[in-house]
Amino acid sequence: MPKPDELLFALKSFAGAMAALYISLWLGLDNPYWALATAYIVALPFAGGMLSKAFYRFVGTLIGGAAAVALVPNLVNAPVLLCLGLAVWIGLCLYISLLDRTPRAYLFMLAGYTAGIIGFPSVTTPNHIFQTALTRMEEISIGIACSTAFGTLIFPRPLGPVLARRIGGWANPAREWAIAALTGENDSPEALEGRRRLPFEATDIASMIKQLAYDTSHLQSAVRHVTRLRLYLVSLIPVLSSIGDRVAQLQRLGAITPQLQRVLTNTARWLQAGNSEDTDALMADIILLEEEDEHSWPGLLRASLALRLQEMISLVRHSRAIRRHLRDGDPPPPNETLDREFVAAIVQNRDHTLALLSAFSAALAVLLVCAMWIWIDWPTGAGAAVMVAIACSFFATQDNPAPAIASMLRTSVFSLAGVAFYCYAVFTRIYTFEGLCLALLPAGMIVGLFISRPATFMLGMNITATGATQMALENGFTSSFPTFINNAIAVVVGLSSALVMTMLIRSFGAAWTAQRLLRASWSEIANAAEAHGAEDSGVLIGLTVDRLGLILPRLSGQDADPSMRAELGNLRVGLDMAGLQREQWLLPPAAREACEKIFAGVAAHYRGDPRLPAPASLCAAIDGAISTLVKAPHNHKMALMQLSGLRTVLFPDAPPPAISARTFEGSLA
Amino acid sequence: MIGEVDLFGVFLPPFLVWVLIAQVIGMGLRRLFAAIGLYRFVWHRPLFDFSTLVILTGLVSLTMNRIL
Repeated sequence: MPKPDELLFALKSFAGAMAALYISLWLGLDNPYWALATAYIVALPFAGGMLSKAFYRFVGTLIGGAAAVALVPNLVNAPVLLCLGLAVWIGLCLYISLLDRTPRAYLFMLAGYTAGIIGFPSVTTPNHIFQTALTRMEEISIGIACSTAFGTLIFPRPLGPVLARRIGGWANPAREWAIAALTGENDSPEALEGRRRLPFEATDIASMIKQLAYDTSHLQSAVRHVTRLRLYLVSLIPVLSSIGDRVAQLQRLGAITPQLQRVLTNTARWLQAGNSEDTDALMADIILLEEEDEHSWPGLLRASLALRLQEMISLVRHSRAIRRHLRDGDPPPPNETLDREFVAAIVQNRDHTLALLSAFSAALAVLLVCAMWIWIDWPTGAGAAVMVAIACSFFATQDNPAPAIASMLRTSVFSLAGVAFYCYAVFTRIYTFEGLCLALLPAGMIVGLFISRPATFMLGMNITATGATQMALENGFTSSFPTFINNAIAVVVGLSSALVMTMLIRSFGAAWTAQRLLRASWSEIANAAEAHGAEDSGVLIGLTVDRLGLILPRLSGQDADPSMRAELGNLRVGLDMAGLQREQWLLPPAAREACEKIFAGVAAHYRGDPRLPAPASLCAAIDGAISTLVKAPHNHKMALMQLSGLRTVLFPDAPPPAISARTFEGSLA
Repeated sequence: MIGEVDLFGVFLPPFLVWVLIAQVIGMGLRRLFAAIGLYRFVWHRPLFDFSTLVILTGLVSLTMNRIL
């Protein structure tokens, strides 16, 4: 049974669509059903999503229409060249759109196939292309205006509260994980849940934040703060993983001093309490801990643990300030933002190869359908070319778009049957606009209900994409059965060729994509070790956590946690490498030589298969560097931290290195 | 509101121009409202913004008609 808000949404969308249709008919525009279809396409349940999609659709149509106007008149005398031009344009736009994983990708994708929608049917009347493009632009604008007016002015469903709930949902797993890490319980259910949930949430929430900028709630003006909150969450992930490992290792060595134990307990209590009053005292305690003796292996571990604790506390403190601001309004969060090397940057994983492959398969599918269209002289072949472009673009973000295209094909057949029913049984008896509205109401409500539920969203969109356009409502009854059947065949042929092409060229399972993402993050670490690529730690954190968020849903149950832990460890190796690269110019020559060896060894390890244990020679090199540097621990504190971190991740089971107790200070004393 | 606005040879209906001017003013006003936290006391923000736009359009067209 549909819920009241779903019914309301369906009714709103229908009203918007009918208003758009009425205005287009009243203005006497050529294809009024474009306005109708647009009104349904931009009708998304949440106001932020709807307004952003409306804006992207407007700009995308503008770009695509311009491309069609530029291409068609110039190439219309050489059909092969024209098809090639449009196919390349569609592929290019799809490629750009796949590199951008935010909702903005829709803009580029739409620019691609809009050129097809305008261009392909215009090849017979190229002198009207400007008029066609202009009309489409006008109708899309009308559809957008009507749909967003109804959608946002009448009981909008703002995105803000939903996002706020999601953000509130991070806080608990993050805190539980942090507390588990402080007690060294890395296998507790809390730690598992944290590792599973946080990276996924961080990646998933990014696209919602993009839509938030268009939202109707008061969070709309807080995009800046929400973005920072997400970055802090992302940055917290490697820090927590590092704290957990350090504490566990110190426990194994039996090297937890009473002072450290007190700090850990206090920190856990501070996390539980959730108010930030005694933060400064806690920070002072931790800094004291860090100043402690550093010339033994447990001392090094303790000092680096203290460093991580400081990072965690400043991240949590800033996040809390922002959350309080978002929840209660005032006081505004502190203006001084955390901008240190442990804070992630806003970056996204970009898979150029996969994007190129998708773009290539789309362009090829379009070309093949065009070839058939020209070869058999098919009057409605343009429709097939359009559908193939749409189907190849729509689902290109999925690992394996074939099932989605197949379901679109099935839905289209059903909606074509519905369209036939409307055209030949209903519309023949309808003479007024009011009658038309009443007749369309049931279909419109069903589609609206489908769109309002996430599970059936794609189904509703597919019905709109074929149904509303194939119905081709005009001013007056003009339908001829042969044309209709020809168009219907064009839709089916277009979708089938998209399906075949996709299955042939780019049908990969989730595991394959997960492997690719893993390889990408490994080579990022190797690059960091060799100091080319993303040496910036913030970029490294952002990229890796983004990839983790993508990998997680693609891994099967029992596989997920071990590889998650391994990946978090690898991220820390990358961070240590980037830090050591910065630090190495301050080191004495002997240590720098050792560092060179370490860089080469880590890079080789990550170019190969980092799931295998790292070579013992690397361990020896790290130990050598540590024992050189430990002679002056206060001058090379950061380098020592990074080296010990590296050793903790790569050789967790190796016995503690032999560090001579004689220090610089010791020899003075 | 008779006559048209000549924009480099493109004739625009004056009303469109007034709406655009009002929209620009409205954008500044919305930013101001958000900064002082007025929206926390507004139940239905889009409706509020829309009404602001209508009022601004009215004001702009009244003043412009008086001036021109």
